[in-house]
Amino acid sequence: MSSFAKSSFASAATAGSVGNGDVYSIAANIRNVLFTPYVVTASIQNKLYVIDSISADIQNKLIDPLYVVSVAIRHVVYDLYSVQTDIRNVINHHVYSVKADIGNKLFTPYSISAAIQNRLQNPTMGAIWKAIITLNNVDMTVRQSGLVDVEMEEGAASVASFELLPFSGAIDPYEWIGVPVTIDYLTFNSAGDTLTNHRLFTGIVDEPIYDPATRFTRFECTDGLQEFFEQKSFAQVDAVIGGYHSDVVFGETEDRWEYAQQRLSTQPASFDFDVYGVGRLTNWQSKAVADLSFSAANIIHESLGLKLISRRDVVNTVNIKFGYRFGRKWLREIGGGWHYPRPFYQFLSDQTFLPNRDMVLNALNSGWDIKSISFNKLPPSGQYTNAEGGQTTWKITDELRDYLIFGASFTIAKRWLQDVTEDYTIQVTADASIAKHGVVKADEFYSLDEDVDEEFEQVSEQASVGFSSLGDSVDTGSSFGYTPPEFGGESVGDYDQIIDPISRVDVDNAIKTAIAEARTHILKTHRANAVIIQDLLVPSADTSKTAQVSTGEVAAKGKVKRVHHTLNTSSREALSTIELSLYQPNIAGQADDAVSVPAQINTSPSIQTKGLSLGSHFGGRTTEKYNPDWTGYIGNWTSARTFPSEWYPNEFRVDIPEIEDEARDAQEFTGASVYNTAIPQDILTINA
Amino acid sequence: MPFKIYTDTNLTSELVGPIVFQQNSDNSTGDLDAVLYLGSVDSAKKIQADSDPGTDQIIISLVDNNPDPGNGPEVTDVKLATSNAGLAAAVAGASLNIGLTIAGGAGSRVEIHMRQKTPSGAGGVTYNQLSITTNPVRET
Repeated sequence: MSSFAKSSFASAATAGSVGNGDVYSIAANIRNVLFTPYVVTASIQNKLYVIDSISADIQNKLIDPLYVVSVAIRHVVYDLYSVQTDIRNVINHHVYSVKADIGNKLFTPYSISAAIQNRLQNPTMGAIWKAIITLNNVDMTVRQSGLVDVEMEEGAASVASFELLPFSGAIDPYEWIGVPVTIDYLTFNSAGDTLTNHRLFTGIVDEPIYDPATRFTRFECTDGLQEFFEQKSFAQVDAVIGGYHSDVVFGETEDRWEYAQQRLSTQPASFDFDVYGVGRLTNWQSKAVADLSFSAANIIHESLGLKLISRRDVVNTVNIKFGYRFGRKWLREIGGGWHYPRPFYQFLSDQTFLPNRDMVLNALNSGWDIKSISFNKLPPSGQYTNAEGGQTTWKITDELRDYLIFGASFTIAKRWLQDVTEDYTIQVTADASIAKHGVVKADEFYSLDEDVDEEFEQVSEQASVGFSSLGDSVDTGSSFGYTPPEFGGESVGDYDQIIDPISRVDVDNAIKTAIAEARTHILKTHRANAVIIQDLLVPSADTSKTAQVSTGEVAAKGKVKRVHHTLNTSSREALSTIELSLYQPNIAGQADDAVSVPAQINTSPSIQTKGLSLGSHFGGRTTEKYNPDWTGYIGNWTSARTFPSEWYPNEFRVDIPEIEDEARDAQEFTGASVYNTAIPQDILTINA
Repeated sequence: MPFKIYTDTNLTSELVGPIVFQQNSDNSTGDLDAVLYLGSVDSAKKIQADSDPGTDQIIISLVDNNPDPGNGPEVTDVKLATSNAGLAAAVAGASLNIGLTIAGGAGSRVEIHMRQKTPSGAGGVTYNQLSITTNPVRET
C-alpha cells in the first residue's frame, strides 16, 4: 500500500456586499497533511492429511431354539394391620339466633270499691205534732177533728180518712168528690218551731160521708192508683209495669187495671204510689241496708208481732202443662207412569185393546189433585213396518188418536191438615223450700190453639184439568186447582212436604209468661211471713222501704209491706204500724234459673211414602187368572181367545196409597223441663 | 264484664251510689248489718291480686278519706266479714281477706258482710267519707 500527501486548498471570499464597482481580495488558506509510510505482513500455515482404510470382523453365533421360559413370581406379602386414622371432625358451628317472641300483656289492675254513706239523723222529732190537711188546695186543718188515718199497702192504693167539723151554710158533699187532698205531718219543739215536715198522703176525695146528726163530714180518700192505670193504654201499662203478659195465660181483658195486675203477677215486685202520688215499682227483695231500723228503744212496748206462714199457704212447686196445638200442612206429590209394554211394530202385527184418557183420569179421580199429566198418542195414519218386516197400512182418526193412549205419566198431589200438639211439662220449683217443707204443689194448665186454614185441604175438580199439545205425539195437562207448595216447607221423605206455623212468638211468650207467673207465685207465698211493729209516727215509712227490726226476741230485715199511720188529734197520739214482709227460708247458694223458653219439642215426622207401580195385563191368551189387585192397564188381545184363557175386564187402575195414620191422625209430642227459683234471703231470727 | 259490687245474690243489681247506713245519732238505732256481693256475671273471668297473682290475697279494706280523725264516721265503726255470723268476731276497722282468686259467675260471688255501729257525729248530717275498696286486682 502506497501513501501519499495530498494538498488541498480552500477558497473563501470575504463576505460583504458586492456591488458594481466594489474592489475586493480573494484569499485561500493552505492545509498540508503529511503521511508516514509502513509495511503490513501475514504468515501462511499449510495442514496435510494421511489417507488409510478402517476394517472390522463379523462373528455369527447360532443359538439353540429349546429354551425354558421362566417367569419370576413375585409374591407380594401384605402385612395385616389396621389402619387407624384419627378422624378429626371439624364442626363448624352453625351460627344462628334463638328467637322467642315476647308477648307483653298489660293488665290494668283496678280496685273494686263501694262508698259508704252514713246518715245521722236527729234522734227524735218534735214532741208536738200537727196534721196539716188540705182539701182542694185549701187548708182545712182548723176543721179537722178526731182521727186522721193513712194506710199504705204494697200493690194497692193508699187510702186516707179524716173528719172535718161542720161547715156553715148549704153543703153539697158531692162537690168534694175527686178534689185533691194532702196530709202533712209536722213536728215542733217546745218553742213552737217547726222541726220536721213530712208528707203522709197525696190523693183525691173518693167519698165524702156527711153525718146529718153530728154534721161532721168524713172524707174517704184514695191516691187513685187504679184510676192511674185505667186511663192508660196497654202499651203505657207495659212501659210502666214491664213483666210478661199473654192472653193464653190470663185470658183477654180490656180492663187496664186488671191487665196491670196480670203483668205484676209475673214479677216479684209491687207497684204503688209514694206519699206524693208518684208511682214506683219496688222489688220484693229487701235492700242490702235497711232504710228504717227499729229496736227495743223505739218499738212501742208489746207492739211487736210475728206472723209466720202455714205450710198450706206455701207453694214451692208449680206444674205447668202447656199444650200448643197447630195444624200441620202436608203436601204430598206422587208421580206414576204407564207405557204400552210392546213396541208399535209389534202392536201393528198383533194388537191388543188400549186404554183411553178417560180411563186414566177416572182412575186418578180419588181426591187427589192432578199436578201434571201427559198422554202418549198412537202414531198417525200411514205405512209402518210391522213385526214381520212387511209394511202395514195404519189408519186412525185424529179423534181416536186424542182418545186412545199408548202411554201416560202423571203426578198427583194431595194436601191435608194434621193436628200436632206440643205438650210441655214445665216444673217451676223452689228447691230450698222443698228441702224445708217438702213438695207443696199447684197445677196450671194452658193451651194455645193456632187457627187452622181449613181451605188448605180443598181438592180441585178433576174437570178442571186442561191439556196442551207437546209436539204431535204427546198431550200434557194439569189441574187448574193445583196450588204450589208454600214457602218455608220442610221436606219429609221423597214425596212429602210439611209446613208448620212460622212464627212462635205467641207460644214462646205464653210459656215465658206462665213460667214467670209460677215463679212469682212461689216467691209470693214464701214472703207471707211478717213482723209487725208499732212506733211513734215514722213519716218516712212507706212500702218502698226496707226495714230492720232488732230486739232481744226478734231480728228481722225485709221489705215494708204495709204502713198504717194514725194521728189522733184527741189523744195526741201519732203512731205508725209497720209490717215487714220476710222471705223464708233463708238458705244461701240457691240456683235461680232465668225465665226462658224450654227447648222446642221435636215434632218432625218420619214417613216413607211409596211411589206408584203400574203394569199391563192382557187376557185371552194366558191362563193367569184376573187379579183385582192389579194396577195399570188390564185389557185383552184383539184376536180370538185361546182356551182355557179368560177375558179380562177393560180397565185402568191406579192404587193410590192411603195417607199413613202417622201423617193423618193427631199427634202429640212431649217435653219436660225444670226451672228452679231462689228464695231471696231475708233475715228472720227468733230468740225464744 | 269487670268485677263489681252487687246488692243481690244473682249479681243483677249493681250497687249504684253509696251503701247507705241511716242511724239515729243518739245510738238508739243500734248497729246496722248489710251484705254486698263482689263478683262478675262473666264466668270466664277471674280476679287475683295484682301484686302477686294467685299468691297474694285479695283484700277488702276500709278507707276513711276524712283527714280529720274523730270527726264523723271512722273505719273502726265498721266490721267486715264474709258471713253474717263472722261479724261478731270481726275486728272493727280490720281489712278482710276474700281469697287468692275470685272466679266469675254468680255462684262464685263473695259475700261482704258489714256491720256499722252508730258513728259519733252531729245528727242531721250525711257523711260520705267511708268506703271499702280492694287492693288492685288483675282480671284475666
